[in-house]
Amino acid sequence: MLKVQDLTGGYSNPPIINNLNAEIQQGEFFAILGPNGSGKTTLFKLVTGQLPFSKGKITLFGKELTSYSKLEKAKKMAVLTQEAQVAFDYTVCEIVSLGRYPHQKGVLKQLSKKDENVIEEVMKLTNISHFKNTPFKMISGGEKQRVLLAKALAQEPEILLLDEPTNHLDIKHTFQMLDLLKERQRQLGLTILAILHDLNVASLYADRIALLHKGSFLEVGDVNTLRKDEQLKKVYEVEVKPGSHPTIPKPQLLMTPSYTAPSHSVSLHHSYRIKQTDEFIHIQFDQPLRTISNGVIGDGIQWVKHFCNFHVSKNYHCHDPQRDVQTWLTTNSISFEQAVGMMTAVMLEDAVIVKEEIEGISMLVIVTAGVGNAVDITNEAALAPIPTIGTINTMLFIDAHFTDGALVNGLMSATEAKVKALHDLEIKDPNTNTIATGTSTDAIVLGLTQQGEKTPYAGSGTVVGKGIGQIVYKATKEAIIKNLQRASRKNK
Amino acid sequence: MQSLFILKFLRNKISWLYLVSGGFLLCTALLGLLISSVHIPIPTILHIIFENTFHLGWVEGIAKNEEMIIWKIRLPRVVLAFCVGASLALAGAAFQGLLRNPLADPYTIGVSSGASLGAVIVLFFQLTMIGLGSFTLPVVAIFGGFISLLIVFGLVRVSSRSLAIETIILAGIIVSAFIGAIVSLIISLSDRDSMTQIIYWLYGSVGMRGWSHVQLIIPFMLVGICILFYHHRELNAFALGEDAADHIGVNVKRGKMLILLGASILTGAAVAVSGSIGFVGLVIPHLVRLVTGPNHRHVLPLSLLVGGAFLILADLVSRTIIAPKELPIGVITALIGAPVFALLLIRERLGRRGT
Amino acid sequence: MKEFMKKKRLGSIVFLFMIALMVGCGTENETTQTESNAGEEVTQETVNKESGQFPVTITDDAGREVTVDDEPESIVSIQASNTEIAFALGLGEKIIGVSDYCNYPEEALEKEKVGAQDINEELVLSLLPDMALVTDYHYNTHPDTLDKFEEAGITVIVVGSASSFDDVYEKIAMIGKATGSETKADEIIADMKKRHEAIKEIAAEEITDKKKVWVEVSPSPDIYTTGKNTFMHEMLESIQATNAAEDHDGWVKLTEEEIVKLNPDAIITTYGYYIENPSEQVLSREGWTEVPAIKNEQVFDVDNDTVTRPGPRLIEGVETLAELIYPEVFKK
Repeated sequence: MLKVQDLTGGYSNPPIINNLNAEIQQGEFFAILGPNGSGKTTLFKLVTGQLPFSKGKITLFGKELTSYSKLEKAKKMAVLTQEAQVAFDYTVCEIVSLGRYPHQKGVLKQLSKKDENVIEEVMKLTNISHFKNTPFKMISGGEKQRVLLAKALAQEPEILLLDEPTNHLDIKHTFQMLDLLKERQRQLGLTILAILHDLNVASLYADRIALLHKGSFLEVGDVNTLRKDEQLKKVYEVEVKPGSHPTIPKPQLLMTPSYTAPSHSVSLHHSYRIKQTDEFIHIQFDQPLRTISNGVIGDGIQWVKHFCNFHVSKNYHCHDPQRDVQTWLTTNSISFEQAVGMMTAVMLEDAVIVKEEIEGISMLVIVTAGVGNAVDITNEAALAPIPTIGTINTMLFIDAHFTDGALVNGLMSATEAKVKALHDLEIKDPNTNTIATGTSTDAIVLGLTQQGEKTPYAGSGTVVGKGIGQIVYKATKEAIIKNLQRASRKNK
Repeated sequence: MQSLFILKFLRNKISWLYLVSGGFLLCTALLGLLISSVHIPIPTILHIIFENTFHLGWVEGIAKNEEMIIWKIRLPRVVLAFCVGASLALAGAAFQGLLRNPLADPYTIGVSSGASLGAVIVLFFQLTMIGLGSFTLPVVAIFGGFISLLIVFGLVRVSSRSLAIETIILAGIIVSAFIGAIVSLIISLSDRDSMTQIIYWLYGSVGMRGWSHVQLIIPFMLVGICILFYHHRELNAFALGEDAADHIGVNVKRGKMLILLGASILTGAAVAVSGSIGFVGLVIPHLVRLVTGPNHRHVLPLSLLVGGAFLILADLVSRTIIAPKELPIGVITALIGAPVFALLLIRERLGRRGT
Repeated sequence: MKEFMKKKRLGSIVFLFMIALMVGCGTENETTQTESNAGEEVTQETVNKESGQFPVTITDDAGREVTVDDEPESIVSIQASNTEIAFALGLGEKIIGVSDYCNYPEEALEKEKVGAQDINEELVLSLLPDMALVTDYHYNTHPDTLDKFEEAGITVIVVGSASSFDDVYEKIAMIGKATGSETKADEIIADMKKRHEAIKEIAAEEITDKKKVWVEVSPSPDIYTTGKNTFMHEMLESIQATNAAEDHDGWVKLTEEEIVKLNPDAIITTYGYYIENPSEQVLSREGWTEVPAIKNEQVFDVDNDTVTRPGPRLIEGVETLAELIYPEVFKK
């Protein structure tokens, strides 16, 4: 509906916006992104008509924007800029009713019934009705923006232009405002053209984005365009890593600052403390490690300092294992936000700790193994869910620098070693009487110091991969043997 | 918070405000007609007024001189005071809204200086133009006002494409200062009689004039009122800033020019017939805004009524307080206006501290 | 509520239109009146009434033909000189209003004050005199006021400014004619002329050494003097004295240097009524020690009203001047 062709214009000479082309579809949320000084506001002003352009064409619904009369344009296009200063003590309602200016008829220009209805509606929508008689000056920043949004909506526009409308708003108000806009877009098909400064916010709300670079759009496309970190680096001149939002399939960008904390290599084996009681084993590192795990707490890929394996009784019924582990961590003054927590029914004095230096790479592994509920994962018989935690818990720490891929790879290597240990010890799945491949509740955490050179591989073709295999095999085998010995002692 | 409550209460009774203002106006007008150096009873006064306007008199045997006093001296004086006060207050409200500055005043724009210069020239050179007779002074004054407005506009156009408000204020100050210097020059060159005349004119007065002066100001006043009332929404819109006003569809440039023109016409005509009377344009809109809020839909007409009534009152005080001598009315408006303004300032500051 | 508001605004507009209406009606009346006034013309020497002279038509100093129907019984004079003339003509009883500055004779101080440059119209209208004597300044600046007076039935006579003795005689005659006191007027004029001639004769005979006289009408630092075409000048000529400022016209300001250069033999000041010890001030001026007037202490103050006011006391002014400048000749 809004088409920009070869637009050139700006304050300086040569003008900052140069031959810019864009087409904004009706009913979409289009975000313009770009660093300071890229000309976003200039472009904004060229489109709204505040700044005249020297070359090019802007059309709205096929008709040239400059050929619209002021009033016609205001009926179609509403503008919301960063917070406005209002002289005098106008009330909120008076400000909102200004939005009806282009629609007012008659000589005396009174507010008609329709005008009043629209004003009521937009005030309700933006949740400002309860302070409609308060002077505008006396409300908070977030409330002011809602009022100005209401005024813009009172114009009943078809397209709404916003210039960094959430610039100075806190998170709650930012999302409130954008949710409102999105709602309006969905319900009435309102087209939104917004300059946003926060890439992640843009990713979550926009349908399409455009990157403004050197006077024209470098990239235009849906939000997945934001994954092109090379383009982003070109535009923003900052290291940017596209990641994924945990629940919404939209990219989120993680920036890397250029400063790095003064690093001095620390030997793995000198950078931790282990505390072991009958209740738990707690390893605490000086620096957080890059970990991948499936612990009860701290699962996924995280940065973690504390690693805990809690002992539970055989009859432990977990209704809310997360809650329990959190409580135990808190009781022991361990911040669970920086911890990986696991549970096992194995007696902790049977834990096996192995330290190795394999081909110059320091490694540490702690394994507790109970094979009461060993399972052959390939068997077909449906498994009745056994709530008991027999479990093989593996905590593996390596002084190396892994990519995310290497982390996954490392896990694979550790698992292969675990399976081999079970195989060599001829542990059988009691249901199928075939060699087990693991237990039903195995947990593993792999922690890396991220020192040294980055490597994307940790499989059996690499030194570190083979090292993982060896150390995990050794420790797991030993732990299983200990567990079996205890079991046989008990049976005697 | 309490003031907020009062505000809300009062704003809801906007029609009461019009009533009260209208009543205030009528009272001051009657007082102005009643109290003077010569005592004439009220029924006589009313009869004379009705007789001369509607030929509906009822009292017999009115002395000619009494009729003359009321009809030719007092009534035109009261009406002129109303017109001048109303014009100045309305112009002041418009300037404050347009310039978004509560300190703006009809004199900020340089129109009054130009009008004063015109008047001073007439007094100094004892000019009398053919066909204008005693109208020479007011007409030249209005011309002077317009010329200075053109100069201000010219200056602004050359330095700012968009008629920026700051530029307008600066240009107004420059032109006012320059013209003020010329006026001082003329005063210093004039002999004692002329000097007294000029200074007394500059102080302002609505006396010693007549229906002719009222006739002179009325058309300009009506034009100014029409222009400004028609643009009350634009004045409201300007409160958000010119960009925001533009976005809701206001033709900013045209609106600015028309409002400036309207306010300048009012100012020029007022200064032309009565000399420079200060503080009315500054204080009255503030007082009105205190009660009605800043919505120009009500601020404009109420400033008109209250400003007119105020000046009638000030004129009354100026001619009774040291009777039979008269104080210049500009002195009275300043003596009343300045403390009131100071009070407003203090109140505002205290209010802000309280919240 | 909105309709009520509209009505209020409508009401204000109606109010304004009412005013416009009144304005229209008001001025209509004014114009018709002045027309009728100008139309009237009664020739001189027509009906001789009891007083023997009225009605009488004169041309006043504004060039207007004014017809006085009857001898005026009450008069308002808004100029000190006219007041003095009126009192001298024996009209003291008839005067009911004077200007703020009328101070002679003493009776004038007790009359009602009606203004000076600005006239208190209401007061004059309420006094409703038969005749008002105004100045050309009033005529030029407040013609509306004069119209109102005439409309109310007051005969307005404009008495212009005078700068010579002959001018003054004319004015006395005019006022005399307009007020039915021509006889008295002639008497005064004759008396003044006689005394003036007397001084001129004596001076012409006896004065061989003409003294140069410097006149000051305002004190230092803004010293103003009387050049040609002033009473002072005429007076000095009458007594065979040279006006130090004779090369200038009217009231002019000179610097101290210029004055010292003129080297006057005598100095006359007229501001003694508001400056204390004017002679002392002049005598003590720095740099003036060589001026003959200072050396010989020939510095005198005269009553300002007798030398600047175009009235019957001018003759006193001349006589005083003569005595001060040439005491040997005139002080008897």
